Amino acid sequence: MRAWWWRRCFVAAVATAFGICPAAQADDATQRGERAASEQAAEEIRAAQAAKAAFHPSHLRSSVATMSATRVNPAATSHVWQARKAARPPPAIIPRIAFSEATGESSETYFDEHIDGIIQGQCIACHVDGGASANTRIVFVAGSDASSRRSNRQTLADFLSLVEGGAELLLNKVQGVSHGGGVQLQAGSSGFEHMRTWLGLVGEEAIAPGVTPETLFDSVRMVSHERTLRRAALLFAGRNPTAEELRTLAEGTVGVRRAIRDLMQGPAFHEFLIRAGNDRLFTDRHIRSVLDPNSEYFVRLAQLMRKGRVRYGDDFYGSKWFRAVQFGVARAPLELIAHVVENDLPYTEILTADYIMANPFAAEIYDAPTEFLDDDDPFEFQPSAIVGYYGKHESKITRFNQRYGLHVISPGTLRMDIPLAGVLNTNVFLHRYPSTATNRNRARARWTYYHFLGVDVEKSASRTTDPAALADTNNPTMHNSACTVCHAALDPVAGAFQNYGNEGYYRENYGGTDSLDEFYKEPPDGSETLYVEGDTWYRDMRVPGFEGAVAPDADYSLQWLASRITEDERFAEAAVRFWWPAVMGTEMAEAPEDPGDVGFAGRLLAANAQALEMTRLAERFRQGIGSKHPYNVKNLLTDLVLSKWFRAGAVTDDDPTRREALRNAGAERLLTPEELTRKTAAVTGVEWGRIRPNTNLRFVHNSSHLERDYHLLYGGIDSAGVTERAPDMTALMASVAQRQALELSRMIVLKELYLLPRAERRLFGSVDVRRSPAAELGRVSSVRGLRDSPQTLAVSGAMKRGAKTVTLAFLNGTWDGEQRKGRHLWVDRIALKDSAGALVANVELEELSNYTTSHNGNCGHFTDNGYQFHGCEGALLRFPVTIAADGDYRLEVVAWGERFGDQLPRLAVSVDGDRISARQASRIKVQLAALHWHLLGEQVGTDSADVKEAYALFTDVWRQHYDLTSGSRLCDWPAGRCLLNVDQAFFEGIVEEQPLKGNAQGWRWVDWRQAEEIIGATPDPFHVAQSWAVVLAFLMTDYRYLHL
Amino acid sequence: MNRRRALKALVGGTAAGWGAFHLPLAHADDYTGKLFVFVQADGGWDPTSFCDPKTNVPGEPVINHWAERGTTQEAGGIRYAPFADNAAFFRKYHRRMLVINGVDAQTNSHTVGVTHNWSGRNAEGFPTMTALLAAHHSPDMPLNYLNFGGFSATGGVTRFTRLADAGRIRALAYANRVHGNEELLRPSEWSTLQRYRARRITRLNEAPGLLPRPARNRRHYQSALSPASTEGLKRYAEALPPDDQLEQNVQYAYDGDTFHNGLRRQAQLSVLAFKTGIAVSADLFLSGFDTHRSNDAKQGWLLGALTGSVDYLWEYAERHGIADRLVVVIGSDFGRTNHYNAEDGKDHWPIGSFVVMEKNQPWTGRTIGETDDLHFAQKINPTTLERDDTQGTIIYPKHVHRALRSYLGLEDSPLAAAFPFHNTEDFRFFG
Repeated sequence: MRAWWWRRCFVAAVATAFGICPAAQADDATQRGERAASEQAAEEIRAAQAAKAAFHPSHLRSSVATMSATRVNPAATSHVWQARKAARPPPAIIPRIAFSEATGESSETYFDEHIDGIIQGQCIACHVDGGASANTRIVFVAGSDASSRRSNRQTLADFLSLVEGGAELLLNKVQGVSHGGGVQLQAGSSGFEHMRTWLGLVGEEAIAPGVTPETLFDSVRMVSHERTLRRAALLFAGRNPTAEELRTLAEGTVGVRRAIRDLMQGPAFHEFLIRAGNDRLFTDRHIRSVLDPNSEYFVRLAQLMRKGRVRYGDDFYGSKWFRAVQFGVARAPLELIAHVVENDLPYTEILTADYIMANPFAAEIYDAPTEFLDDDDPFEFQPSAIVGYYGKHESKITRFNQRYGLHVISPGTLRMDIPLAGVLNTNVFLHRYPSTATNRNRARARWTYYHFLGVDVEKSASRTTDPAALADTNNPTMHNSACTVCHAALDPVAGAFQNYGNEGYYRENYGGTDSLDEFYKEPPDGSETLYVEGDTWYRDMRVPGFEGAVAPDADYSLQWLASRITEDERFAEAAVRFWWPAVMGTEMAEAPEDPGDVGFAGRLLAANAQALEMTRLAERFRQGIGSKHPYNVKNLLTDLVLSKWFRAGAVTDDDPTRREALRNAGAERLLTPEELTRKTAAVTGVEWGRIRPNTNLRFVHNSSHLERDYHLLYGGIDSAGVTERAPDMTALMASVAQRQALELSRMIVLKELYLLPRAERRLFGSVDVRRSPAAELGRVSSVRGLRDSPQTLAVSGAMKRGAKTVTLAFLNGTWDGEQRKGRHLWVDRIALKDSAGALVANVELEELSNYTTSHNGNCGHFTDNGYQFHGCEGALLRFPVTIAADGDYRLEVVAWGERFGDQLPRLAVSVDGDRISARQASRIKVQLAALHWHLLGEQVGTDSADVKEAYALFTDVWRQHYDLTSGSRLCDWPAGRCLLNVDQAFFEGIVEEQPLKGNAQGWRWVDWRQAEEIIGATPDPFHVAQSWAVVLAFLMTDYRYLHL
Repeated sequence: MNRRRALKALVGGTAAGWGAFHLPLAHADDYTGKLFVFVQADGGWDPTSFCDPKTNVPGEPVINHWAERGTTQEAGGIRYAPFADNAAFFRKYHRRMLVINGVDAQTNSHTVGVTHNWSGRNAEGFPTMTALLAAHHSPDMPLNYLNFGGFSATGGVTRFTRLADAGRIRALAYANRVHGNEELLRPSEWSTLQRYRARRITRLNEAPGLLPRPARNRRHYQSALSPASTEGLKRYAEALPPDDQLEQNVQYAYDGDTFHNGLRRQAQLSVLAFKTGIAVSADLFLSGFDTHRSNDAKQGWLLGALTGSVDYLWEYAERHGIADRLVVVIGSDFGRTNHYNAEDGKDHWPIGSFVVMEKNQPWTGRTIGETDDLHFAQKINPTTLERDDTQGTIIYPKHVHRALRSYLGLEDSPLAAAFPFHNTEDFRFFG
């Protein structure tokens, strides 16, 4: 339940809370009073019924009479209650006159000084005779004279005496708990404290809260500015912060603020704004279809659609043009919000804009002369106008053909200018919230109140409405107090939408006169209509307006409404409420509705605290920072990120109320599918399932797996039946995240270690797959030697004594089956010499066939005079040796090869110890620490638990591989698959011509042959790449990777 | 301390929340209890054209056009309207049905109606019965609460899972496998990764001073990756039929509206989830019942889609051997007016119905609750279940929920105690 920001209460309190109380015994005088009150009540009932009957369609009169005779009329109930109250004897508990310990004031004086002002300034808006809450148990008298104050004191005393727990109920109500008037006094505010004090003075128990909104964060540690900046960067820029951005933190709060604000630009920020807007408005429900191609109003659309259908048939509905048109129209409100925010325009312009955002395709069907940088780019939006809108008129000539649709032969002369009002009359907004003959724009009014004034009319009170009221057919929204409590405010706003029909077309009726329901204008049963020619709104509804003001001009009523809304002080608070979930990942806390609810105290505290925060943020938003740039959303977003609710990091006490209140505090939440996609792409350079359709033929607005195929499974919304993001990780969602990590990790390693120059690597800058982590001696050489003139390759270095493993790996073996040729390598012998040059050991490789070795039998074999490495990937030979003493050694390898293509054979030689060397271990840990920062945002040292754990994983996996003969390449089969089609943009920046094939419909797919050629071999003789692939998958499924 | 506060203290209203609080109940493999499906007919259905048939009253506006050419029918004592495919449905299933008519949602608001009917309370904060049942009976099952759309409040007692594309589920259940038998990581790599990941998440969960939200999120993540969860998903994936044997969504367009019926697939996925022991409760969802225009054409199709899909649910459950354990509850936001508007539609009406279905129960085969000729709710005696204008009460959703809680074993559950119904008469709907 959302907290309310009513300044003027116009919704009645819950009838169940302030229900009817039992009558007390009466004496003679009070009996007379009761009779008089009852007679008056009865007379008023009769008058009301007479009025209803006069207004009533005749065919319903009998049923109304029947209902009235048997049902309870809330209006009558109210008068009965008042009569009973008047007849009641003085309360058993007289308001005790006590004295404040602090000030010495009597309760009476205290009331006059501190409570009366609240009553007159706030409560009286509804809790007054004739007011919206006139039928509740608290009805005050207006006026601050002595008599009125006495009366009001007595009213409260009566209430407290008759209602068990009345003090607590009162305090809950003013905080918004089950209160139609919403929050009137926030806990912690001076008014609230006065109320509590006064209740104490009159002897009512009102428990002082332990934790207050002011002290809520006392035992909460905030996260560092660095972490805050990182989270902000992920949110607004879809990436990690740069080193330069991190340096601005040294400037303190000013630097932090500037750094955060500077993130708010570019495509990722644009996407954030679009997503945040749609998460509220749900207009993307119609992203594929908002304008009816057969509607006669947008003449250009109909004309172009017909041409397309004549040429392409029904396939035209899938064409890029059609999709781009619908996209352009559907995204208008979201693009307007983005345009306003990105250009630092005042947020009020989202309602007052007299232009409409359009892409080139939408502008075309609007007939607008808007200029674009790229007329073929569906994603470029510019402020535009609707020029070619034609109403129904006798001069318009159209024909409809079943096969080709509407044919507009002549648009006619009734071209109409639509007075634009920002989001409110975009076609998609009106289409998303359609109307009907009976709804009459009330749904549009409801959502306008909700999104732009922060008022949820439907949930204004958990009211249990009298069934007779709900069944009343005598225009109940005008006459029935159970209905008018909401409709009195809702219906004028509905009227402001008077020019828009059910599907959102402007003045859709003939002659462009109005959008009234035809059956209202001409009842099919021939009965009399209230309609008068020239009317644009229903005469049996309240006149178009807003909160007591009447729209002055029917033509511009929506624009007028827009400006009134933006002038309302609730607009700023509604903006805070609108943007809060996009940053915090959760709705703002609402006051719980039942004091019996579990966690009530904590939830109420959260609602109060957030209400205070909203007030603070709204005031800054309204005034601007330093009185500059009011209504700037970037400033608001910055404020949200710097708020305690976002930055809360850890709590140091176990107070249950505090913990309940902090239930959703902090920013550590599940990333949305879109956020995870952006993050992965920014951090790794690869996007899971990204497609690259031919944009000349096809238009796709969501291009990755998480945004398209796994969107709902990973907690996303479809803006239709599913409008709430799933906030909690489930087994299925975890599987999606796993799948992404597993499919991508090997490909990311492939790209970084085999395709990109070292300087362009994002993650693995220091990794070299050609060097064994356990190497004491090692070298990679190109072999120029030939059979007749073998080459001696040498490497020198220090080695410790003990068991070693010698590895000879042929890095670029290849075989061309068509040419029957390949690149091969032979090794004759290996000699080990000490520092003096003395031969320590000499190994003729053919002799090794009698000993324990590891080699890939598919890729090599022993010959009579050595070992031949075949032309294939993964060729290696590994055998053990023992070094007798520490010292400097020189290893010589005699080898020759067969060249193929433009590459010489390359041989890696390594003498490995029995474990990863200290130096390599240090480098690996440094790399791991870097990965923890890039992927998880954790600044960890090389001796941290995180790095130790990841290092243990690395060594564990590496050791598993080291003992195997197979698996000496990164991309293997059947296990260790590299999915070359995981990202159709994978090779961008690597080769000029992308290995993609396409079809006539514009879809593309990866050409595996071409891709494999580009990649070539992926030798991994020392299992370095494979080990890093596993570590990367591990980190990409780390909790902190998947959460903000 | 009053009883209310005592209960709160007993249950512990802490922000540690319900994620950590569950009874050590039956392991997934051992669960042989009932299975629950709640079908949300979203938008406000027309009970007078379904299970609370109303013919036209002389002198009153026409309630139903079908009544101009037909009359109320009966199957085994349950009355139904001769409309859409009702006849086939009621004739086949009357023995399994308990119809509760005259349920007053006390509102014409969709939001409040949905909240009221599916949680039992018109104020927000209570979970769906589906969530409560999942949390009570199967807290450890990987997907214990399935939700296909619509109202899904959990009250923090459990998480819901949205199942969509079945084909993707197969791929996800075997995260390391592609193209049949190929693998992304080698088996030893994969098992090593999982081992280290489990270790890491345990360590992360033990971090001091965690705020409730990260504490909750970490626990969810840990349980989502537990062996039970992954094995459960595999069982489920293996049970899924090939794509060409999955039920397809059906569309219907009329008068500018397009309706989508995915209920059959939802039923299929739910039954298989139940059968493989990874879920015990599901919310099925069919929207479009808000028929302010052309009521009969649209309600006709939608009610037909609804009954046809519920029929499919039962048949499919039968085929997979779980029909005997199934409890199905069907309802909506509220009802529709007792007259047509100018566009031949019907507007909102607070009085609705519930249909509860189960095989071989003594309480089925009857209708409880009453509305008058103009579809106004009548007072019913909770004990006798007969109309009683003096001792009776109007039936509200809370009565249905309370009775269901009692019947389905939730009444004494601390979970349910945290969401009590006050001043709620005990209707003996289920004996």
